[in-house]
Amino acid sequence: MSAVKPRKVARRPKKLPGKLVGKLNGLPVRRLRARDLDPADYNPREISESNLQGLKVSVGEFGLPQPIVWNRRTRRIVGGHQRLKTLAPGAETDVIEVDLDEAEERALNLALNNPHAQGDWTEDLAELLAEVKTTFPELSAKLNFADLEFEVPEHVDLEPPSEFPEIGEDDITTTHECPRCGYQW
Amino acid sequence: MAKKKTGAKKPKKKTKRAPPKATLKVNGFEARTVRVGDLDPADYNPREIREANLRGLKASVERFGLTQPIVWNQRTEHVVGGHQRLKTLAPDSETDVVVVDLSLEREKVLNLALNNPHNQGRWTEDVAAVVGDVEASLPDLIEELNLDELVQEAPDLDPLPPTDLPGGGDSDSDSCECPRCGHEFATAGGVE
Repeated sequence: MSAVKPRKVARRPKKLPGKLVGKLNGLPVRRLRARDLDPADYNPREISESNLQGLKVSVGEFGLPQPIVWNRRTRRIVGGHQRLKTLAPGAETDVIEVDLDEAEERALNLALNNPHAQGDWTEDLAELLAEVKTTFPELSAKLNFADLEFEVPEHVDLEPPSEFPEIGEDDITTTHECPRCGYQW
Repeated sequence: MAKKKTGAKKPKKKTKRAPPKATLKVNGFEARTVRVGDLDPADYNPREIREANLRGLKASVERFGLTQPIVWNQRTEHVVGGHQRLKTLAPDSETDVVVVDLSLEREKVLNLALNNPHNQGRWTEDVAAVVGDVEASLPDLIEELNLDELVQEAPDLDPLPPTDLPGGGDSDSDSCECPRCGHEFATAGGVE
């Protein structure tokens, strides 16, 4: 019997995982396995369990129309850390490939996550939410759309309401009274 | 009478067709190259962007490219995701979109899902350190992309409530201090 030859296993094979399948907006698209993608250890983001469930439902329902962004130079994910969590390790996924140094990668990570650059909700959100909740009540619940109701920007009324309630001193509930000075609070 | 000849001198319509090429599929979706001016925003899209933030987004797209393509519904011809990104592109330029095929009703669900900030996760307190890292080597970029604003998004470091509030209803304490005169007294199982 021949002895098993000790083989050097490089932790990081030089070859990039997966294969290029095309270009999108001038950037290469690479098809690889979810497990080939390393999260960035500095990624300053987290997700609650219920929101991850919501994201999973969204990916299950609609797929991943916004692909994960991956830096070939560091092999780290730049955008899509939460989306990665919705994929099985063996699942194949297409990523948009960038080639950035450490500082640029961090800048793009922040830029992709910058909520301001994504715009703000308008008052129309209320109507759209109501409509979607009527058409797809179950799906809306699973996607945590109830959370979005708090995001509807408040309509600023310049006129104060005509019937402004008066509050008498007796209407304020107090729980304590000082035995010395009689102050109630 | 001679029959009027119709269509004999009709000028030949020049059909401008893009050269056929293998269709790229991204995560199972067809990718299509379209003219930016041909993309219709959804009229119900409940989003807007401030001028300063649009400038930041433009700077980001110029520097890094459109790493997240615009999502477009071929059935309604509406943009579903990327209304703000669309504003960063010249109307006569071309862009590659990811094509979905949804009813108007389901399109609205995807619009909300793609814009739901909660399902995108939230910042941790590490965001300040990452902004600092970038600032050290690319200070101009931080400013251009409005990334310094993000430091304010770091969650509060101190989750504990302040300890010096006037004593009110401490359940584990039997004594109470009047916020007006400072008199300390025992709360005998509650309030009179």
